[in-house]
Amino acid sequence: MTSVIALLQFLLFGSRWDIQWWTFLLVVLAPIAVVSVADRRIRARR
Amino acid sequence: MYAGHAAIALALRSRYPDVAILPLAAACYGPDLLEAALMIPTSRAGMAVYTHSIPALVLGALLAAGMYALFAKRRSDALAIFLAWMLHWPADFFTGLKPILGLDTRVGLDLYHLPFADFALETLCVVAACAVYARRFAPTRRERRIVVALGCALVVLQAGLLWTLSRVDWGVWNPSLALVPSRTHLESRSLP
Repeated sequence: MTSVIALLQFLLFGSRWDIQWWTFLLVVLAPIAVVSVADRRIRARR
Repeated sequence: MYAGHAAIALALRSRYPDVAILPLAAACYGPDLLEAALMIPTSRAGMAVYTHSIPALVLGALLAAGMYALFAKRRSDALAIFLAWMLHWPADFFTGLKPILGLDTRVGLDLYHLPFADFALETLCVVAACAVYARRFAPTRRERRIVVALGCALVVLQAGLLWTLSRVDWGVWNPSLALVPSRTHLESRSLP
């Protein structure tokens, strides 16, 4: 479990505590993508 | 706030049905997207004043709404983009500490450091927004299933974020509503 958390920390923060820009961008884009895909699927059915 | 911004996008979409969801959702996360862009040349530290302070928020909202009015067919819906960007700050007020003017005046309820409370609040926002959205856009059972899947996906994303934060951020809960540091009673009495 500790190694999983360590890997996650590395992926999220690299060698520093500061989050990397690409990780931050992915985290922000994820809900935007989810909302957009669901909305498009509903609109496609109408 | 994280999934709560998506909930705001869904609620605004129900109020302004002609606005495309992508620019609306992007505007709800606008200050965060701007922060990600500013992080490319430097680190995240100190960037909040350029993205999440009130003047930066108003400027960003006006620019985003102006660009939408310029490129979209329905200019009246630029108000939805403006509102989406502006609502970012009140939403973030619940979960973190956000600047008013500069980084020395940050206020907020800091619920990210109370993960269960934050999860409850954001789940409530997502459920309420999905209900409003479904009422407007999902009359059939199959469409409602998509909305339920959407809500579940947002809640899972929120849970993932809070789980990660609880393991990499060991800060303590530190809500702040004051613009100046607090003083003890004794310190106050010693003042002239």
